[in-house]
Amino acid sequence: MIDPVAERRIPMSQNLAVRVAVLGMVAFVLFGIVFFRLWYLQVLSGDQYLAQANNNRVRIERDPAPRGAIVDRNGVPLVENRRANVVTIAPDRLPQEIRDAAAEYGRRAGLRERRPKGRKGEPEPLPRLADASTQALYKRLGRVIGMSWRDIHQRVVEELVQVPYAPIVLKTDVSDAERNFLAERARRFPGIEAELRYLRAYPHRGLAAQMFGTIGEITEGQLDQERFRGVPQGTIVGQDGLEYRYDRYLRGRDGSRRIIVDANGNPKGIRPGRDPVPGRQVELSIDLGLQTTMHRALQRFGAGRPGGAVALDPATGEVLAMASLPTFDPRVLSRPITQQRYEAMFGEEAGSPLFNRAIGAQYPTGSTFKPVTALAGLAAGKVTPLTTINDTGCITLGRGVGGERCNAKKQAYGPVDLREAMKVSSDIYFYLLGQSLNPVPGRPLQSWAHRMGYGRRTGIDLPGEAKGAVPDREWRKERNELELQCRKERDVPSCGIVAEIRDWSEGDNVNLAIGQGDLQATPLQVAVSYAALANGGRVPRPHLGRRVEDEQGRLIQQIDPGTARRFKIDPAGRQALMDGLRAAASQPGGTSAGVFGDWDHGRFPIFGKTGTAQTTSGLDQSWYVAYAHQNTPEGKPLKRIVVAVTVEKGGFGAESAAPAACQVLSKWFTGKVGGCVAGSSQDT
Amino acid sequence: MSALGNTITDVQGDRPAAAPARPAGMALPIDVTLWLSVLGISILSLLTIDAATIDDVPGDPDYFVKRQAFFVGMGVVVALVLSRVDYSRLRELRHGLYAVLIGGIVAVFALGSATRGSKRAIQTPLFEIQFSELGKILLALVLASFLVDRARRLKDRDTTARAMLLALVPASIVMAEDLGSGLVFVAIAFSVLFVAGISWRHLTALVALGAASVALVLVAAPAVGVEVLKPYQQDRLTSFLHPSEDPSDAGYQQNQSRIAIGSGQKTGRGDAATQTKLNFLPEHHTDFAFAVVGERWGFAGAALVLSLYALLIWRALRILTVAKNLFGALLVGGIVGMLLCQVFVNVGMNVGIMPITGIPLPLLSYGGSSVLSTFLAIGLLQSVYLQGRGAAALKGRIRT
Repeated sequence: MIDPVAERRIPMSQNLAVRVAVLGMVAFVLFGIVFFRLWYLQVLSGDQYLAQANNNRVRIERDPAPRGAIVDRNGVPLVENRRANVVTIAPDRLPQEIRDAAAEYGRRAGLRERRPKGRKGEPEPLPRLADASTQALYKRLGRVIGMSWRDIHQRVVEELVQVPYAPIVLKTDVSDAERNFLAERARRFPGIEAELRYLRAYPHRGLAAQMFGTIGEITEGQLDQERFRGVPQGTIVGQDGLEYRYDRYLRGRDGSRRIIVDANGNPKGIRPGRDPVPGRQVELSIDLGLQTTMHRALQRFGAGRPGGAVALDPATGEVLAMASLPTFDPRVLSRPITQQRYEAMFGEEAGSPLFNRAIGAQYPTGSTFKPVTALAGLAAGKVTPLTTINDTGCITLGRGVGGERCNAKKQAYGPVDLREAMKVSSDIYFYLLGQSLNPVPGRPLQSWAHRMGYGRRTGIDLPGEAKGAVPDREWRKERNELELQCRKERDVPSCGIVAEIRDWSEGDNVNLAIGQGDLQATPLQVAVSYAALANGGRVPRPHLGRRVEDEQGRLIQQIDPGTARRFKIDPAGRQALMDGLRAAASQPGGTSAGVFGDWDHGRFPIFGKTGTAQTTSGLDQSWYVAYAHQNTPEGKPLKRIVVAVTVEKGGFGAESAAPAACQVLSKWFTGKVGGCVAGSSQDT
Repeated sequence: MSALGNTITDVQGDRPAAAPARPAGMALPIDVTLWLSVLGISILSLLTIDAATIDDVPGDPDYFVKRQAFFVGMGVVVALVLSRVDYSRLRELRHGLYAVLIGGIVAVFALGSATRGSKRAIQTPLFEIQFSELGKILLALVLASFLVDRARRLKDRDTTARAMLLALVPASIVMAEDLGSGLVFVAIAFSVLFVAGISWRHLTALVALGAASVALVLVAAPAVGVEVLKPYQQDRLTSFLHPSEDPSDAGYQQNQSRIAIGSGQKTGRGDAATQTKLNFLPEHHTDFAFAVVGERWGFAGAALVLSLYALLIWRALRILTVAKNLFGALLVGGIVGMLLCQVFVNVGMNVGIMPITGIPLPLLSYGGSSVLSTFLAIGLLQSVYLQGRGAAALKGRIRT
C-alpha cells in the first residue's frame, strides 16, 4: 500500500541539512531586507511620510474675499458683488496632448492675427479632441451644466491659449443643485470644481463701464510687479480703470479653509484657516444722477456716434461725471465668452467700447482752444482786451500752408475785440493772433497751452490717460524724423506719422491758434484747461476717488487728490475772456446761445465755448466746453462745474456737444433735464 | 529549544530501552511555538481588520471582523483535526488531488466571477471561493508525492522537468487571471524541488529559465507586440518603479501604502491613522493589511508581525528536519516556500520594494479561502510534526 521508500525514515542527510540551512538563510535574508526597509521607512524617514499623509488629507480651499464696492459721492453703489456658482476645470488635470494642441493652436492663430487684413486666410480650426476619456468627461459634464462637449472643448482651448495655468471657468451661475451634484461626484469629474465665487455686479449696466474697468485673475507678469507684491496666484485683481487704480483697497484678501478629505475627495471636516478679509469700499466723486444724465445726453445728441464727456468741480478737481460712448455691458465679461463673441462686442468694428474716450481719445479741439490763444496773445502784448480787428470773413495769409482762410460759412463779423471774437468765435481774429505769435521767442502759444494743461497728463487717478500733443517747431522736427526712420525701416512710401515732410511753418501756428492742425487733446484736458481759466490760473488735478471706507461706509482713509498747479494770469484779460464766453452762451449771436433756450442766465451764468474741429474724415468733431456756477446774493459762486463734451463726427459744436452739455448743466443746477435745443449755429 | 523538547528528552532519558506506552509526542499534541505564532498573527489580524474596516460597511462596523473571526475559528478546528490525520496517507490520493487541483482551477477560469477585472473566485450566495488558495496546498501535496515516487531518481533531469511540468500546468492557468498566485505556485514547486535535493545544476538552470521568462514577458514580448500580460498586470508589475499620483493607477496604491507605513513612525498613529481611515490606502483589509498595521502601530507593530512570521517559518523549518519520511519533508518544504513567498511578496509590495501582485498576507489579510488554506497548511505541519515526533519517540531517537 504505502511505498516502503516513504515509510523508511530518511536520516537527516548531509544534503538535506545543507538545503534546510540554505532555505533558512534565504528566509533570514528576505526578512532582513524587509526589516531594513521598514526601519528606513518608519524610523529614518517617518516625519517625511507623516507630512505627506497630512498633506494627503488636507485640501486647502480658497475662501474668496468679496471685492470692495464702488459707490458714488452719495454712497449709492455703482459696482457691487454677487455670489455665483462657477464651474471650472483645472488645466493640469487635462492630458498633456490637449494642452500641447492648444498651445499649437494659439501659435497658429497668433500668426494668422499678424497677417494683414484681407489676407488672413481661413480661420484656424480648433484642434480635434482626440482623447476619448476627456471627451467622455466633457459629455458627462455637459449633461450636468447644459453645455455641448464641443463648446466646452472650444472654451478650454481658447482659455488655455490665454492663461495656460489658471483654472478655466466653463460656466458661471450654475444652480445649487448642479453645484452639489458635481461636488458629490468629484471622482467622476476629475479636475472639475464647482465653487462659490464673488462676481462683480453692475446695477447700472453700461454706465461709465470704462471708468470702472475690468477685473481678472492676476497674470504671470503682474505677479512680479511691485504693485501686486504679496498677492497669491489665482487672486482676482483689477485689470483696468478704477478697479486697477484702487485695486489695493478694493481687493481684500482671500481666506483659506483647510478641508479634511478622504481619498475620493469627499469632505470629512473643516479645520479653521484664515478668514477672508473683504475689500474696502471706494467712494467716488461721481454723482450718479449727473452721470446718468451725461450718459443719456451723450447717447441722445451723439445719436450713436462715439464720444466722450467729463464734468468736474474746478475748485477741487473732483470728477462729477465721466462718460464714453460706445459703452458695453460689463456683466458680459464676468461670464465665459468666446473669442468670436469678444471680437464682435469689443473689437474695432464695434467702436472699441472698452476705450475710455473721456481720458484716452485725442482730438483736435477746434475753437475751444481759442482762450489759450487769447491768453498767449495778451501775455505777449500782441493784443489788449480792447484791440479790435476787422473781421472780413476771409483772409489770405502770406507764407505757409493754405491760401485763403475763412470763418465758418464765410461769415464776416466786422470789427471785433476779444470779447466779441470769443462770443461769435471769430476765426480771423485768432488766425491773425496766431500769425503774430509765431515769430515771438519762447513760443508763447505753445507754452500757454502747456500751462493750461495741454500736451501733458492731467494726473487723474485712472490708467490709460493720453498725453495729447501741442505742436511746435521741435515737435514737428521730431515727427519728421520718426516718419523718415519709419519709411526707411518698413520701406513704404508713407507711415502716416506726418502727412508730408516739411518744416514748421507760420501756417501751423495759425492752425494751432484755433485748435486745428496737429493739436491733440482729450476731453478731460479741455475741461481742466477751462477749470484753470475759471480758477484764474489754478489748475486742479482731476480725480475720482474720494475716500476709502469699510463695508458700512465708515471712513478709513481720505484719498489725497494731489496739489493743484498754479500760473499767473492777467485779471483784466481773464475778465474779458470770461465775458466773451458768457456772451457766447447767453447773448443773441453767441455761438451756443440758441442751445440754452430759456436758461436763467442771471442765476446760473454759463461761460461756454463751442468747437468744431475738421478731421481727416471730412466730418467735423463736435466740441462744447462750459464753466458754470450758481450766483448767490453774497456774491460767492456756488456749485461750480466745468463740463466738456465731444462727439466724433458730431458736426458743429452747437449741434450735438452743446445740447448734451446743456442737459448736464440743467441737471446739475435744477435737478431736471430739459430746455436744451440742438443748435444749428455756425461755429468753427 | 522549547520546553517541549526538553520534556521529551527527559522522557527518553528515564526509559531508554522500552517504548513508552503513550508516545511522547502525544503528550502535548501540538507544537506550542507554532501555534503561538499562528494565533498571534490571527489576533493581530482581527485587530487590524477591526481598525481598518470600521467605516466600510454602513450599519455593520464589525462585518469583516466577525467573518474573519469565524474563518479563524473554522481554520483552527480544521487544523486541529488535520493534525491528527496521518498526512502520509494523503499520498495515496495524489492522482485525485491533482485532478481536483486542475478541475478547480479550470472551473474558476470558466465559471468565475470577475472582481476588479479578473476572474479569481467562484461566487456562492454566502461567500466566494478563491480556489487558487486551496490549490497551493494541493500542489505542495501532489509535488511531494510525485518526488517521493521518484525518490531514487531525484537527480535526473527528467524528474526536475516532470515536476516543473506538473506545477506549471496549473500555474499557467492561474497566472492568466491572477499573476500573484501563479508565482506562488512556481515558488512552491521550486521549494519542493530544492528540498528534495535535485542537482544544483538543475536549480541554476531553473533560476536562469525563470529570469529569462520574466525578461521575455516584461521586455521582449511587448517590444515585438505580443501581449502576454494584460495591461493592468504589466502596470502593476512595473509601477513600483515609478509611483504616480493618479488614483486609478497602481503606482498610486503603492505610494499611498508607503506613506501609510512611513507615517506610522516608531509607535504608530493609533486612531489618527488617516491613510486607512480616509481610504487613501486601497484594499486596506486584504492586500494592504500590513500597511494598516504599519500605520496604526508603527515600527513596533510591523516588527511584531514580521517576528511572528519569522517564528512561524523557523518552526516550519524545524518540523522539516523532524519529518518521519521524505514525503513529510517535501510537503513541509512546499509549505515553507509558500509562506515565505507570500509573506515576502506581500510585505515587499506594502513597503514598496516588490510589484503589486495581489497576494494576500497569510492569516493577516481578510479572506476565508486564504485563512482556511493557511490553516490547512498549519494542520499539515502539525501532522508532520506529530508523526515525526511519534516515530522518533518510538525509535527512541529523539534529540534536541
